[in-house]
Amino acid sequence: MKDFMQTFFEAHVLPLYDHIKEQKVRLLETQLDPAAESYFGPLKHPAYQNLSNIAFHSPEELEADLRNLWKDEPSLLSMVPDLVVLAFKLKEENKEQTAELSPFVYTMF
Amino acid sequence: MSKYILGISAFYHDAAAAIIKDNEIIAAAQEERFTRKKHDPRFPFNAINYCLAEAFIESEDIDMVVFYDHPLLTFDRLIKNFASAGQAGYSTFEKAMNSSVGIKWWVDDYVQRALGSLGKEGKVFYCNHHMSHAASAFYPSPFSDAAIVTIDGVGEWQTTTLGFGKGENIEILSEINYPHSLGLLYSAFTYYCGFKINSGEYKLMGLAPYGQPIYADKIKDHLIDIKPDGSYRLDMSYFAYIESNTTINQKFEDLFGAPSRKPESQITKKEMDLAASIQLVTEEVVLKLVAHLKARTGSSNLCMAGGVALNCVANGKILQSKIFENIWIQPAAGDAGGSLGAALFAAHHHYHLKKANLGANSDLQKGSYLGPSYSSSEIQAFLDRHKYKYKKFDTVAERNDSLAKDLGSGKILGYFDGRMEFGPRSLGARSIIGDARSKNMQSQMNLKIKFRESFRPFAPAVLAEDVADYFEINTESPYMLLVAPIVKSRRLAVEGNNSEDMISIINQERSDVPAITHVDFSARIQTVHEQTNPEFYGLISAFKAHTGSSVLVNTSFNVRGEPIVCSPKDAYLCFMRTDIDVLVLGNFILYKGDQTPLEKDGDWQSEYELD
Repeated sequence: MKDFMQTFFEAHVLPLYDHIKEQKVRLLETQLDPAAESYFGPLKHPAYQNLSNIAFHSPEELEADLRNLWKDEPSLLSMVPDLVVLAFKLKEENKEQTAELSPFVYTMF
Repeated sequence: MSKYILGISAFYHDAAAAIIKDNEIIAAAQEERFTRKKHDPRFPFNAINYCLAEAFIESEDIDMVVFYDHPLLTFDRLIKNFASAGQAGYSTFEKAMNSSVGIKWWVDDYVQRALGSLGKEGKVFYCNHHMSHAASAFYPSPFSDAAIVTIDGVGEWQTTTLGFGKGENIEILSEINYPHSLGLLYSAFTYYCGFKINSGEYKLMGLAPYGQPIYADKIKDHLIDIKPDGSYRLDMSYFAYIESNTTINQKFEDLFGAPSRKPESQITKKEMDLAASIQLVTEEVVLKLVAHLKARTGSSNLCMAGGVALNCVANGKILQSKIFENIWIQPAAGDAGGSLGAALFAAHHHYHLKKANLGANSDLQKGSYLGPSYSSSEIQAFLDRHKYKYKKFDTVAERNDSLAKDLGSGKILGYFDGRMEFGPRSLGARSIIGDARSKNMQSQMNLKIKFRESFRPFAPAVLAEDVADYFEINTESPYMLLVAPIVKSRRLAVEGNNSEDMISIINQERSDVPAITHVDFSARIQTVHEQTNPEFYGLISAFKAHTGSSVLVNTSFNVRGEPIVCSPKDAYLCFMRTDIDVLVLGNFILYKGDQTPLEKDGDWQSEYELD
């Protein structure tokens, strides 16, 4: 699984990193704006602000949900097929949930 | 036909379950209380079972199951975080993927395993994380409309939201998103000062009054840009949580001229000043936020939730500011309360149930006594089975009269009565209590019972009608979420607090109720109401009749690192492992001197990781 994870990282995350560097796109807004009157913004994901369903009992359903999530972000869509495969592999591995979360990382994911 | 809705929070920290019947809260509990693992994030199988039992229903009776967070939207943040970090992020990628994609995406499977079904709706619903918080604050509140503020570390993306609730509807008006987070900023200082993130924030808040806010300007000049409306962004060049599993980096440490304090090492003036500084900055942000929201909504009422809403000092400042006439804060303001909020949101948003209103000052939280209780016969069976020596009282009044005398003579009580509290505070159902007039009570409780840091203050439980005799506050505070000063007439003159020697500061007597008077004369108040907890109210009334004082020290019934006790067995073990003098289990009283010491229990402290 470790190899699979590394392959996924190299195949999708690093190219995405290169892509956003090249295109000067920001996936995270990290810059300060001293001239701005406010940092409040409108809702970034209004479609997910209330109640939602996720029906990913099958790979096809999961793929559809991910494509819907990223329908306006084509740079992310290329990872969907591999992500679906990875998800079902990880699901099998984690059937007996034993994950102990570090108190230092809970906020991140 | 009534609707039963099960709300679940899990997989971050403080997993919990809550069940509502239409808009009535039936039960809610944190998983840690059953598993005895503090902040247990695992799927709350035990809490769910308890909720079903309390509601007298089977799993097939559940109409809807709602999870308090959207796992795919959280993953959206996660993957963008890693894409922004590049190769540097790989060190945490594997763990994060296992946790997110490997576990959190499969809530349906966990629910299926727990219930054997997904509820009558046939599918699990997912409520936005901050909407879960907002709903947990607004729907149980006594208000028909309210401004709503939620602030925490991070939800899916949101870290701060401003909203407005009216009737059955909640609208989120604006937001601040990850990586900018007031909760994470406070956690960064928690870590830097040598405390654990997620549990040490409360310690940092308690430490703040010992220091001077000499770093506040430095924080505002370098770490956070605050706008007049309270919106903010962090300068991410000082933080490491985008690319690693730590919160701060070398630049942060350089800014304050030293590495992070090592956990459990001596606390110095520097940590006190840092705590005071970040507390002041937090209060500035929160006060600006709520002032802005007041102008935007025009409501007289404010509701709050999210982990930062547990900062009762900041809450007290909001109260003092009089920006809002009324404030209601969800007592389970952290993620555990998200389970309740998710269920309530579904009730009103999906099933269109009307918001219940019990009238002014009457909320729907039932005093937050929403957890398990044990009958007299159950308690007696437990005691008899183990042959523990006890005294049984026929009436609560007789029991309270006896306990009042014990308290008046300086004894410390482990008090276990009625339904367990939902949320992090003990409110007189699972409490350790003592005489607030005692000079030695704070150090005795901290060092010999709680085994925790000596600087940590204790809270007062006071009869609601007597609160103004002791504290400068003109509102109820039933959930211990508001801080206010001791009235001036009760204060004693003290020397300055600039000493490096914390013990000398702590040991100064500051009022005629020194055990609950913090270094700045403040206290984290619980007003006790006959309506919501008549037994505890009766005990304080008996204590007042016996001593003239209507204030008791009230702290959670546990030792450091241990979840608050849930069952009589938990309570008995805590009683026997500490210097608690008397154990109260409903109408049964046990005295330490009558008990046989526990066998083979020498290493019990290793059961609990220090918080």
